[in-house]
Amino acid sequence: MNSAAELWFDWSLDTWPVFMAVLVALSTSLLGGVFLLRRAALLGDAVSHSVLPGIAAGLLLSGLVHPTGGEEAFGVSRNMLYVLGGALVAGILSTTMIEALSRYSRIKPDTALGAVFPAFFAVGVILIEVAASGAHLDADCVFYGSLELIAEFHQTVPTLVATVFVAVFLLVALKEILLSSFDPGLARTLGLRVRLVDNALIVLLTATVVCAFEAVGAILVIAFLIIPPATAYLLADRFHRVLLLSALLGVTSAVLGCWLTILLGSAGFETARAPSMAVVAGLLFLLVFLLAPERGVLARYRRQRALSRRILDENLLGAIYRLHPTQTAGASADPVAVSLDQTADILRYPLPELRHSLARGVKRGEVVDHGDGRVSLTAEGTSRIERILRAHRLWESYMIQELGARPDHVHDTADVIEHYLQPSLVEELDSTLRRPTKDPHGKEIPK
Amino acid sequence: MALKKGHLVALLLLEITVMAVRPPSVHAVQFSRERDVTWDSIVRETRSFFANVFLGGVDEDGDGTLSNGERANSSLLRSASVAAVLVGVTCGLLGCFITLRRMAMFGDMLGHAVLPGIAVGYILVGSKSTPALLLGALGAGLLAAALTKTICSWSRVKEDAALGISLSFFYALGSWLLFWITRDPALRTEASGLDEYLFGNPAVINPPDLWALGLAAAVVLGIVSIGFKEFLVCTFDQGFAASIGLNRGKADTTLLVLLTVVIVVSIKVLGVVLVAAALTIPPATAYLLTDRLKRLCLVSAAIGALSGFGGTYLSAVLYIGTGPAIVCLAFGLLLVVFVVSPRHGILSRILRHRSLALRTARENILAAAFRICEREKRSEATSVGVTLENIAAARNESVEATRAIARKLRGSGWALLRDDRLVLTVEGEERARRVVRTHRLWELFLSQEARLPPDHVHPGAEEIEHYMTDEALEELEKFLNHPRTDPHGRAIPDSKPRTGREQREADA
Repeated sequence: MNSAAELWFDWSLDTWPVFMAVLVALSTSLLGGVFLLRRAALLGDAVSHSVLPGIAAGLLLSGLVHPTGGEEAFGVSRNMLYVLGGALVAGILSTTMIEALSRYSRIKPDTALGAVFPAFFAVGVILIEVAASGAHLDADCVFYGSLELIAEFHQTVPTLVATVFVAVFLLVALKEILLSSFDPGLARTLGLRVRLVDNALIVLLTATVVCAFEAVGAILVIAFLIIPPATAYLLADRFHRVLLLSALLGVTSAVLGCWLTILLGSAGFETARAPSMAVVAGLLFLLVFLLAPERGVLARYRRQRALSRRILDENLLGAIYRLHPTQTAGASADPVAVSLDQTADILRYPLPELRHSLARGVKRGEVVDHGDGRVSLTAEGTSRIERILRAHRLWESYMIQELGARPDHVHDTADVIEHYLQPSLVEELDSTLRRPTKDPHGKEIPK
Repeated sequence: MALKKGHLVALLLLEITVMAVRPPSVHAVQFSRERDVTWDSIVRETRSFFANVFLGGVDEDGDGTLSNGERANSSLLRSASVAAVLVGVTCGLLGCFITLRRMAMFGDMLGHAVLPGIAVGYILVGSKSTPALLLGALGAGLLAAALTKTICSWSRVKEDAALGISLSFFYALGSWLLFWITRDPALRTEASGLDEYLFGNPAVINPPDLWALGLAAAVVLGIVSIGFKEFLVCTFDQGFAASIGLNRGKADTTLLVLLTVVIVVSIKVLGVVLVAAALTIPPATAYLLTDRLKRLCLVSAAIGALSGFGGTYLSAVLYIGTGPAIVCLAFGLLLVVFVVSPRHGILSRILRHRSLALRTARENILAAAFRICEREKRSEATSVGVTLENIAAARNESVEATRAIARKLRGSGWALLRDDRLVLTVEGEERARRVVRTHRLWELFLSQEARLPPDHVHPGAEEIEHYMTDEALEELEKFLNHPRTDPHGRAIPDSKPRTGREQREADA
C-alpha cells in the first residue's frame, strides 16, 4: 500500500490536468448556473452535441486550406481557429434551428431540442468518418475526454481565458442576466437588449463547451453544466449565491474526482478522470438531495413526520377529552380517567402507535397515565385541547355562516384545519363571527 | 454597467486570438478516404444492396452460384435493414405519445443512462451475451427514470435539470465502468465491440438482438393498440381522463417503461446519442402533416421505417455509418416537411399570408372605388368606372401602387381596367358593397357598444372589414337593429343594390 502522501498528487505529473479540470469545472458550472435558473438546463446538452459537426467541419476546412498541416509561422495553429469558428457556427445554428422549429411550426420546444441536436451530432459523426484518417477525434476523446494528455501550462491557456471571460461577463452583466432571465418583459421596457444577452450567453456557452470538449469529452460537459448548479440550487436562494456555490461545488468535484482516479488507479482499478469527476459531482448532488438542511429529503421527511405526530397527539387529546365523563358536568378540575382502548376505537388507530403518542403526551405533561390502561388529561392538556376545539367549532361556524356550507358538511374540513389555525387567525374568526358562544350544532365554544 | 455590443466583440476577438496560439492537439486532416464515392460506385453499390437485401445475395465472383461468404454478406445486410426498419417503426410509434406528453428529452436521458447497465451486465456475465446486456440496460434505464421522477417530486429541481442530472450521472458511471473494462486485462478479452453501444451499428446485429427488437415492437404495438383510447384521453384531456377513472400516472409509467424497453433494444442500432432522434424526429415530422392521433401514429411509424431503410441504403452506398445516416435522412425529411407541409409548413404559411395580403389590397381598391361613386352620387362604378388617380388620392398612395394592384384585380373577375379607369363588374361591386357595409356596421358597433369616440373607430373597422364572415355580419346587423347610418352619418349600404323604386322611396 502506498503512503498517504503518494495517494495525494504527484505534482510533477498531476498539476496541469488538475488545473485544467478545475478551470473546466469553474467555467461550466458558473455558466450552467445561469442556464439552470433560466430553465434552459438542457440547452447545454444540445449545444455540447451540436458543436461536433462544427469541430469536424473546421478540421476538414483547415485540412483543405492548409494541406501541409495546421502549423504555420509564428507558431500559430490555424486548426484551432477553424475548430472554434466551426463550433461557434454550429452552436449558434443549432440553437437558431431549435428556435425556428418551435416558433414557425407547431412542434413543441422540447421536441425541437430533441430532434435537432442528435441530427447535428449525426452530421458530425459522418463528417468525422469522411475525414477519419487524419483527425484523431476518436471515441475516447468524444466520450471520455483526454485530461491525461494535458502536460503543460500553455495547453490550458484557452480554457483559462474562457473561464476568465465567463467570470468577467457574469460580474459585469450580472444584473442584466438576472433581469433578462427572470423578467424579460421588464428588461425590455427598461431598454435592456434581452436578445443580446441571450446571444452572448449562447456564444459563451459554445466557447466554453469547445474548450471543455477535449478535456472532459462531449457528453460529460453536461454533467458540469447541470449537476453543480442543481446542487447549489438546493442549498441557496439568491442568484449570485447559487452561482458562487455552484462554482465551489464544481471545483470540489473536479479535485475530488481527480484524486479519486489516482486513488483507484493505485489500487489497480484504472479509470478516466472526466467520468470520475462527473460521478463525484453526481454523488455530491445525491448527498445534498438527501441531507440538505431545509430542502433535503431527510429534512422534509422529518418535518412531515413531526407534523403527523403532532396531529396524532392532538387527536388523542381530543379523544380523551370527548370520552371524559366530567366534560358535560363542567368539573374539569378533578378529571376522571378513561380507557386508552376506547380512544383507539374512536380514533380508529392502532393501539401501539397510540401508546407512543401517549408517552409523548405524558412527557409534555399533558396527559396522565394511570398505569392500568386508563388515562386522563392534566390542566395543560385540557387547555390545549380546548384551544383546538375552539378553532374547530369556530371554523365550523364560519363555514356555515359566512361560506354558506351545510351544517352536516363542515366537520371533516374543520377536523383537518383545526391543527393548522394560528391563534391570531382564531381570534380573527372570533371577531368576524361576533364572538359566538355556541357553534351551529349547539355545542359550546370553549374560551 | 450596461452591456454593449462592443464588449461582446472584444470578448470574441480575444478568445479567438488566444485560441490561435493554442498548440495543436488535434491533428490536421488529410483527405485519404479508403473508398471514393463516384457515380459508378453509387450505381454498383445500389445494385448490390438491393440484391443482397431482397434476392439473397450477389454473385461477386461470377461463378453462377452463391458462395457461403456471399450468403453471409446478404444475411448481414438483410438483418441490418430489418433491424433499422423495426427500430424506426417502434420508435416512431411510441415517439408520438412521448413527444405529445412532452417527454421528448426522457428518450435522450434514457439513451445515455442505459450505459452503466450494459457495463454491469458485461462484468457480471463476462461476455457480450445479449440477454445479460439487455437486462442490465433495462435495469439501469428504469433506475434512471425513477431517479429523475424522485428528484422532481422531492426537490425543487425542475424536470429538465433532473433529466440532465440523471443523464450525466448515469452516463459518467457507465463510461467509468467501460473505461475500466477496456483497460483491465482480465475483462477486456471479450470487450471489443462494446463501444458499438456508444455509436450504434446495425451491421453487428445478431439473431438474439433481432428477436429482442421484434418482441419489443410487438409489445409496443400491442399495448398501444389495446390502450389507444386510454392513451389518447390521458394525453389530451387529463381532467376528463381523471373523471372517467383513468389514472394518468399509470399511463405515464406505462409509457416510461415501454420507452425504456424500446431504447434498450434500439441502442445497438443507433447508439446512445442518436436513439433520441428516432423518438423525436419522425413524430415531429408526422405532427406537421396530420392532426388525428391515429394518423399521426401511422405516418410517424412509416417515416421511421422509411428513414430506417433509406439510412441503411445510404450508409451502404456512401460508406458512412448507419446510425448517423438514418438520423440525417430523417432530419432531412423533417426539414423538407417543415418547409413544404401543406397545412403547417412555412411555405404554405407564407402563401396564405401573401394571398391574404393580396385580397386585402384588392378589396381596399374596390371599396375605394365604391366609396368615390357613392360620394359623387354616381351609380356608374360598373359602367364608366373610376380613374386610378382618384382611387390613389382617396387611398393616399401613389398611382403606380394603385395601378399594380388594379392589374392584379383583372384576373379575379371583380373589375376591368379600361383607359386607366377601374370598372367594377357586378360581382366586384357586390364585393365592394359588402366590404363597405362591414366597415360601417363595425364602426357603429364600436361606437355604440364599445363606446369608442367616433374618431377612434376607423382603424379597427379597416382591419375587420376583410375578415368578417357572412353569419357574423348578419348577426351584427341584427344586433344593431338594422341601422341605416354609421356614426359618421354615412349610409350603410344594403347587401343588394336597391332597385330604382326602392331608391326613390328611400330618398322620399
